[in-house]
Amino acid sequence: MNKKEREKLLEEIIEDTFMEVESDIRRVANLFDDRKVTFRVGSEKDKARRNGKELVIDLLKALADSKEQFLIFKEIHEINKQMKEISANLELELKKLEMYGRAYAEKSQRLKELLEIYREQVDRIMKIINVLPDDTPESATKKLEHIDRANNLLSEITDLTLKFITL
Amino acid sequence: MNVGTLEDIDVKIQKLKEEIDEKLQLVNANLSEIGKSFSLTLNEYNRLMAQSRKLFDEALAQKDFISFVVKGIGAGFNYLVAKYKKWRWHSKFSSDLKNLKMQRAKIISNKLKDLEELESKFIPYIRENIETLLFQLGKFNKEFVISNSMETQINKRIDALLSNYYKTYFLEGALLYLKQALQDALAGRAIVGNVSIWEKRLEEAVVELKRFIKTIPNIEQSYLYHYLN
Repeated sequence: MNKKEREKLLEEIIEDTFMEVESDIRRVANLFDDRKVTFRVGSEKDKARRNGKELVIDLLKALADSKEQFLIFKEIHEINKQMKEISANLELELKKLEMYGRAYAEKSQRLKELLEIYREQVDRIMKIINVLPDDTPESATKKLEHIDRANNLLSEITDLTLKFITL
Repeated sequence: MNVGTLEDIDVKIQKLKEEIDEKLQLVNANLSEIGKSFSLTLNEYNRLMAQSRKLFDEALAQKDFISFVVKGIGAGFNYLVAKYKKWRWHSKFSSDLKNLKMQRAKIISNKLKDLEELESKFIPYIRENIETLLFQLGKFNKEFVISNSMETQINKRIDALLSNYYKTYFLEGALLYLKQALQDALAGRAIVGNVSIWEKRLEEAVVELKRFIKTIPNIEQSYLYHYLN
């Protein structure tokens, strides 16, 4: 049994005992109170005994009346438990956000590197296209093929950039 | 992604918007619920403290010493425990909340920085290159193309390039939409997704493309002119 469980058990025992005992205390206290006890005025010993009896009565009565204090004590514990839950929720949100932040940084880095690679390729093909002749059917077809490649790469860049938006 | 008919675009905007909004949820998770239940619970401590105070005062008023001791100590103890717990939870919760807000602001500003970079670096780059490619196609002589029956070949390329050109506006619209939402989140405002700026960019695409085509030299002789008319 760990510390927490022990505490919980102890708490339960206190609660049960207190509820049971409370009515007994009150009954016993009333019993003492109602009884017409006549004390002989006499020796110091009798006086001390009477004081002792009154002390017990008072103590029992005071205990019976402190039920409210005990309930407040219980309530503080209850609220503490709720606070723990709320705080755990917040911690969970924080953890989720941290994880997301890390994942985003990684993915964004990778995408940026990929974009640079595509850009270099486009630059290279564009240089070729700008100087390719288009005056014979053969050269024109060749030029069209290069235009295809460049356009496909540009389309890839657009798609990669679009991916950024949903990261 | 292939940008097709206008109806397709509406569907695509909607679909992409959903994806964007889903991610936005992460940086805009509603903390007010947590905050509310926290302060409500925190107030419970206040209530218990007040109650304990009252009981303590009552104990003080007791005539006999024993009642005062038994009740007073209990009330005083409860009061201090409640006060301490309240202070402890309050400081823990506010530091966690501050942490979370900081984390969130960091992520949002990172995202905004990335988006700005993409917007200024890649969108003009893609457009310029597509314009260059269109310009190259425009240089093809009309007579030459028709006599060599390359017409369908070139038409296909022009279609592809124009579609790609249009796509950059779709992208730009999405960037504008997301940037606005992120700025809202950063400022702590409720995110109001406004798709109209997105759609507006798509309309502007047609105008800007027409403007570009007019800049092609000897436009009447070029194949592009022939295709577009």
